[in-house]
Amino acid sequence: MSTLTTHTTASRDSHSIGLCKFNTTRKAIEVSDGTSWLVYDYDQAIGYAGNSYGVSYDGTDDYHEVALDGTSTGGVLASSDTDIELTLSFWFNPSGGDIFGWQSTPAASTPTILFTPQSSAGTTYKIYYAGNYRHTFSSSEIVVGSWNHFMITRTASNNTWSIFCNGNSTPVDTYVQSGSLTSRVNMTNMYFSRAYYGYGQNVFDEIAFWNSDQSSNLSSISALLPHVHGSPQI
Amino acid sequence: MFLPATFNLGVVGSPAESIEFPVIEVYDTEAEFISSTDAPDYTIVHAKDTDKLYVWDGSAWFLYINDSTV
Repeated sequence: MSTLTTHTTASRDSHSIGLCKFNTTRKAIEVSDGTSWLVYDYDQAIGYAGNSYGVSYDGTDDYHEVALDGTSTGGVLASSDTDIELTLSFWFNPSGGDIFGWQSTPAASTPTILFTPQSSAGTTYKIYYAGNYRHTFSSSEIVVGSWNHFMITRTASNNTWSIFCNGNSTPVDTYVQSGSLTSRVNMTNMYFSRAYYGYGQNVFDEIAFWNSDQSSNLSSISALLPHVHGSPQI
Repeated sequence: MFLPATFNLGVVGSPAESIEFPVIEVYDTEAEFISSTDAPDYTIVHAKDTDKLYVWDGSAWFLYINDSTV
């Protein structure tokens, strides 16, 4: 049969000259020369949610506004705050400026979720949710100039927010919010590369949203890697 | 029904020995198979009209663009 056997990035087979494998993590064809794996990343996919493109924002005037109504009246989330489940996941490569906001206007001062630098010119990032700045990311959690995976989830079963970085199953931050969802009335639009401080210079890829808790699928979601590890077509 | 070709593992020997190369299925056009979803997982094929390689992972065809022809 003309089929390839498989391995993963985390657990590659032992080398054997000419051994050809399909890497199920990065969907690459890999050939061993005896000491190294020659990796052939995919260029396109058909019948698959991914593609070979990322989106580059210049930090000057580029941003995306995605109308997604998370308010309690007719939105995509449960009407009762304590029943809300959600997951937002994306890969991004930051160079400075704002990352993301779920809010009513591009530079709103009352967001529901805000992912931003500590200052307008800074590259140390912090995240606002549940009514406060809950976490400041370390330089190893968010690496400037590199691809980072970010995922935020909220469960309805225990009203717990969790922030995951780079596929690590241990969240960098969690918070139990049993009360109302702060500023939910402003939860009308998602803004990528624009928020309180202005525009962000970033590249985004594999943006996904669920109105359910997908934390149990973190490994497979974060495995949807930016194309060719840092060189997507843009 | 997706009918993959026989895949023979090649063994490279000394010049005096015969050489047997791996063979994969080659289609005239991508359209002949791209809608197929019943290929065995990790089937690898080639299409002559696109000069691309294709691997089916059970949910999608992943495409690898030809970089050069020598």
